[in-house]
Order: sequence, then C-alpha cells, then structure tokens
Amino acid sequence: METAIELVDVSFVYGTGTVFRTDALSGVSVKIAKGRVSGIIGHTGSGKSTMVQMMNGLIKPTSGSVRLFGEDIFADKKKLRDIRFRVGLVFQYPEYQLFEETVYKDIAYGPTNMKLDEKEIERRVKKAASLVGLDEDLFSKSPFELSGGQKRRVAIAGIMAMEPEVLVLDEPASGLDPVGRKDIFKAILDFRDATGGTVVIVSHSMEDMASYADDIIVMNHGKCFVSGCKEEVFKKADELCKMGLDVPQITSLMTRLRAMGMEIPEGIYTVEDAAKALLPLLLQKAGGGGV
Amino acid sequence: MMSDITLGQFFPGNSPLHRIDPRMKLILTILYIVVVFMADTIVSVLAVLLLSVLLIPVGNIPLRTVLKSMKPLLFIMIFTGLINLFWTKDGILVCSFWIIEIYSAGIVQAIFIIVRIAALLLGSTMLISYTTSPIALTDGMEQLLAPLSRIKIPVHDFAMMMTIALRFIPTLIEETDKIMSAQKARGADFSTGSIIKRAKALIPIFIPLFLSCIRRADELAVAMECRCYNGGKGKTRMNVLHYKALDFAALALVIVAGVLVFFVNKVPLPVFLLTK
Amino acid sequence: MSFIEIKDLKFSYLDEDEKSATVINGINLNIEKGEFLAILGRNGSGKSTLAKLMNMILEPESGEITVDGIKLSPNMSDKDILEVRKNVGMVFQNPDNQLVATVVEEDIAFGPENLGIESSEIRRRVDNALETVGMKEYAKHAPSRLSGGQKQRIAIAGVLAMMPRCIIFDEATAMLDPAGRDEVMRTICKLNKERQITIVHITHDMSEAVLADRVVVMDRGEIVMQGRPCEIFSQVEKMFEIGLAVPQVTELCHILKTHGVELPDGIITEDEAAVAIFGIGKGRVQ
Repeated sequence: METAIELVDVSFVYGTGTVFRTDALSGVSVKIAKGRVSGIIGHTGSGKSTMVQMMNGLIKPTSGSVRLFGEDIFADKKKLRDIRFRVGLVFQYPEYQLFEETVYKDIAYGPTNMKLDEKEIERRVKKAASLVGLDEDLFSKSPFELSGGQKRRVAIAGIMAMEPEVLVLDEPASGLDPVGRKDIFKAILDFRDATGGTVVIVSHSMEDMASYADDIIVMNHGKCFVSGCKEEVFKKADELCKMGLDVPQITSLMTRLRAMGMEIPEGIYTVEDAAKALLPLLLQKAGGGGV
Repeated sequence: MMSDITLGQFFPGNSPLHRIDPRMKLILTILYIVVVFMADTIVSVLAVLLLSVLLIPVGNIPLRTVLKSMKPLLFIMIFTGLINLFWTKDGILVCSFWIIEIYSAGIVQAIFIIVRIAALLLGSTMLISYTTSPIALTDGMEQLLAPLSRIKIPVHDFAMMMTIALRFIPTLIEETDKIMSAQKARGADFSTGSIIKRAKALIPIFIPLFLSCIRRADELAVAMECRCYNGGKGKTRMNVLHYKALDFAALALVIVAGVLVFFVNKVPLPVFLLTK
Repeated sequence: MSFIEIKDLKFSYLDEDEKSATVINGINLNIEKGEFLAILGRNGSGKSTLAKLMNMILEPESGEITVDGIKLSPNMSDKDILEVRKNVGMVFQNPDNQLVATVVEEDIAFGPENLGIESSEIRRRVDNALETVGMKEYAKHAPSRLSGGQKQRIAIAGVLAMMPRCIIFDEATAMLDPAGRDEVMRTICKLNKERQITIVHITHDMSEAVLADRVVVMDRGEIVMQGRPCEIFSQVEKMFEIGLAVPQVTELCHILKTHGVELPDGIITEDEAAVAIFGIGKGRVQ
C-alpha cells in the first residue's frame, strides 16, 4: 500500500527554557496510507493537533521529518505554500474562519490563492459545494446568514475546493447534532470516493471512528500508542479503556458477553455487525430453547 | 507559543513592595512624582534616583530585567539631554566648534534632566509595573476613585471593562494565532508583496477576529446577566482592601524623602554645579 | 406546585426581512423541585431559547412562565428579576465566554458580589463552591490556562455560589472532549443527588440524557415526546425520524427485536443489554 504521509521519528517541544516547557510529541513515527481514511484518536493534549498541523507544514518538528509521498516537506521553504495546497487542513470549528461577503467567494478563497483561472475556480467551487451538499442557491448569500451546520460545510468545502491530495480534518463534527454529524462524515467519504484522495480525521469519538475510519492511530501523552487497521486497534479495547478513551458502547457490550461465555467473534464495533453476529445465536436459542 | 507572553511587566513576588495596598501604591506614585519634581538641584535629584535604585533590591526584581525594559527609553533620555546640552547658554563656555557652543550650565542641565527622567521612570515602574498585578491595579483604581461615582463618573464600568479586557487578552491572542494558521492553510500569504497587498492579506484575519469578539461579547453579556450583574449597583466585594501598617510606613517614607529633598535643595552648591 | 411552570409559551424572532420566525410554538411544561430533566433536540429546535426564557434573559411573546411562584413578565421589578436569576443559574456552551475575572476565585465571587452579599459570606461560599466542583487547588489560577472541563466546572462553581435552586445547562458539554464531558456530567449528577438542586440539561447527546429522571424531546419549537429515558429511547424509529440518535445498545436491541428476538422494552444501558441478551442465551444452555 502506498504511503501518502509519513512522520519519521518526529518530536516537538515548545516553551524550551521556560517553566512551560512541554513535549507535545516525542519520537512519533506513523504512516498514513494513500486512499484510506485514517482516524487519529487521543485525549486533549495528546499531541493530535500538533501532529496534523505538521502534516501541512504549519508547525515544523523540533526533530524528525515529515514526508509527503516520500519527499521531506520542510526540505525547501519555498515549496511550503504548495504543500498547504496539496495537504488541505480543516481546523476545529472552521466556520469561525469564514470572512467573505458571499458563500461562493469564501469557498473560492483557497483556489484563488492558488492562482487558478476563473473557469477552473468555478468548476472547483461547484464541485466542492456539491460534495458537502450545499445548494448553489446559497452561493450569493452571506456565509454569516447560514445555520451552524451549513457554515461548517461551507468552511470544509473551502478546503475541498483546493482539491488536496490529502484532506486533514480536526474534529470535523464537534458540536453538531446527530444528523449534522452524519452529513459531515458523508461529505468526507464522498470526497474520498470522488477524488481518490487520502483522508485524515482527528476525533474524540471512537464510535464515529469505528463507523467511518479504515485505519486508526491512537495517541497518548505525545506518543503513538498503537496504529493500524481498525480491526487490530479495537482488539486492544481493554487497554484503550484503561487510557480513558471511550471504546464504542457496542464493542464493550460484545466483550462483556464474550466474557460471560457467549460465542461472539472479535472485532465488532458497529451496531449492524453486532446484530449480524447475535441474531443467529439468539434466534437459534429462542427457537431451540422453547422445546 | 504566542500565548506564553506575559502581560505588561508584572513580576510576581512577595516583597514588601508587592504587599503594599494597590490604592496606597497609586497614592505613593503620585507623591513620588511630586518629590521628583520638587528636586531642583543636581544633588537632590541624584539623591532621589539613588532612592529609587534602592527599590530594586527591595522589590526583589532582577537588575537585568529592569535595565532591559529601560532600554527603549534610553533614546528619549539622550535626546532630551542633548537638546538641553546645546540650548543652554549659561555659565562658563567649555568648548565651541562650528556653530555649537557648550556651556558648563548646559552640561549640568543635561545630566540633571537625564537623572530626573531616570528617577521618574524607575520609581514609578518599581511601584506600579513590576510589583502590582494588572488586576490588583484595576481593583485599586476602582476603590480609590469610588467617590467619583457620586458625581456620575462611571468608575465601576471602567474597572469592569479593564478586568474583562485583561481576562480576554490571552484568549484573543490564542484565537488570532488559530485564525492565522487556518488562513495560511488556505494559502494566505502574510509575508510577501507590497504593503497594500500585505494589508489586504490581513482582511481574512481581522473579519473573523472581529466577528468572534462580537460573539464573545454577546455571550459574555448574557452570562453576566445570568449571574445577576446589573451595573455594579449594590455590589459588594469578596476581597475588601484594608490599609496595613506597611502601607503607612511606606507613606511615611515617601513624605520623609520629600522633606529631605526640600532641605537638600537649600544646600549651597559651587557655581559650576548650578544650572542657571 | 412545580418549581417552574410553563403554559402555552410562544416566542419568535424577527429575521432580517422583518419576518417573524417562530422559535417556541406553544410549550407546556412543568419542572418539579429536585428533578433532573434533560431537554433533547436538534440544533435550532428551540432548546436554548426556551432556557433563556426561564430566567428572563428573553421575554415571552405570549403565554406564562412562573418560577418558584414568581410570574415572569416584562414589567416585573428588578428585585424579582434578580431573585429569579439567583434561583435559576445558567451554564453555557462556550467555557471561555462566561468567565469574567482573571483569577478563578474572583470569578466565582462575581455572582454573590452582584447580589450584595457580605464579604465573609462570599468567601465561605466561594470556598464551598470550589470544594463541591473539586477545583480547590486552582483557586488562584488564571482561567485561561485551564482545560475545557475545568473551565466549565469553574462556571458551575460561579453559579453555585449564588445558592441557586435550579441550574440550567445550555449545551454545557457540547464543546468538551470525552474526559471534560465526564467531569461535568459527574458534577451535575452530584449536585442533583446530594444537594437536591433541580437540573435542566440541554443536550443532543443521548448518553447524557440517559442519566436524567425525565427527558423532553423538542422539535421545531414544540415538545414532541416526554417521559422516562427508557420510554423515550425505546421509540427508536421516532427518534431517528426527528433526527436524533439513541444509545447503541438500544439500537441493537431494537434491531434484534424486529428480527423476532424476544427482548424486553426500554433497554438503554450496557448493563441492561448484557443481562437481557445473556438471559436469552442462558435459557438455552440450561
């Protein structure tokens, strides 16, 4: 599998020489596979946010290197701006960064900075808007008139319109209600399917990651605790629980039933899978037990 | 990290200077300024400077910190000194070249002015900036000026505004940092191009920042109302300030200094040390 | 008599085109003393507006609200408004935008200071409130250096120091990480159980609503469902229709039941689910 982004033995220290000296990251090496959705999970202060800001060159590691398709992104300072177009980063609560008069102009801000021609910009804005499910009727409206969920989608479309090879999102669904969350994650998956791009999502929610991510990286105290495909990561459910991370309720229920003696396969972390695993067991039991 | 910057020059500590009641410090500062201006001979002004230098060890402030923060003001001191040096035409002509003539009184006057400015700055910063936290200062001002609210000067409102400003400065610095990063991620470029281009590049920062301030102000106002805020009417305080023995001792010291200056001013000086 | 009584309440905003948009459309609700009530609803369903109407931050357009016997109206006296706000405290979503002072204990003192309480009594209340939310060692800290969950606990302490009888949490957990959420929820439960403070918790997180005594579901300015958490969440399809979720175990049991597995109604916790599902299994093993 091709690697899109690789962090090689990356450390980041801030406040050197003061009482606030903190090791945000220490010796982190991870690989983000091309074309997949990788979830980064960890507590606040575990280094997740620092890590994603390194992926597009906003933060330079104190030591170690960050590679985008094999090349060191900090090798040439002049290329950093291009890196930011190739690795699109959506910050947490991105709707607070909207500033243009119209929705169209705001989505077009990134592509305009890329010095693309009008036609190409228009194509990209329209495509990004359709990916996040924004109606073109909204283009001439002020972004500040929209609802919270719509603003969030405008902001994400602004990054998608740069057509980055890697889309990185920091807590894209925070503060939204269940339907809003679903919409955002659907837009992200649609982007991946439409462009074949790579997606990195930072999240607190194991339940969301269980449903939407392919690979998971668990961060703890500035170190990578475990990384790999989600099946493997969730096998360590007990350890994740001990770290104080929320394992999906369904996974912990399955673990419990297994411990009670039921024959349930490992690696179940969505409601659908759980139902599929339980139904034959229970129906057979209910039917057979009655006689 | 931008959020690590300290506010003003406050240097936390527990020295006698730190412990003086903030209201008293404000009074002392005013009295001290009066004393500095009372000193009108070079000897008395030097004595005042010496006094203010003594405050550095008393306040337990590292000498380096003090010198470093005086640096930007050095230019003003030297500039004022030079003007006095060249424009005073009194006493003995010491030297002359081209159109410049330097008189003995000019030299003395220049030194006098520099020492006075130094004493003024050093003394007041030692009393206020280094040893009083911004919040204590706001408190002190509010309580000292409270009588003015009777003549409809909104003292409480100003103090409340100060407190809120102090509370939100770190939050807004952090926010600016974040918005800048976010716009950089969209390809914003703040460091190249003409001045006009650079100014334009700031719009994507200012608008979100401005909107965020309005939103925060709005939410804070509601939160304050919910906590029964109604403009300081009938408001009490948890920490009531009380003058202590230390405060009166400090007051006595400044008064004694004033009296001393008065007498030192009268000491006859040799002609070459006079400014006029 | 209930602590808060709401009758035929209506409220609307004027939007840019001067058209009025109805946010609260005829709500009737009684909140009992000592109750833990959760209000669930999608963004924009009118939950937060309802909260602001309960302590006179907003004025009702029509209908009636009574708080502890005091009827809310635009021409009530300042003294009564303060009395209502003192009794019904509020904690909001953004922890940063509700802390006023640069020192934690000064912030907590803000409410009682406004109420004109004597300084030694304020001191006592501040210490007490800090103790209750478990933030005693942070009394002299600057709020800007605390975590989200800690800031929210300071906000709660600030409300507690006014000695309220009811606290409304207006999506107070929405911006927090799981650890912060947990800190706040534990504090809320503690206040309700140990201090008998009436709690109104507005949220769109069902795992939090599960902890309440009663759940009210709002949609488009109206109350569409209310009852005990297990009664509400067992109506899985209706919840999905409104655009809300149910706990994963409830959803699982619902799917199992539609496929013919005989499970009891109203399973909302992991414990209940484990016992029920295992129960069926055990029946066969014997």
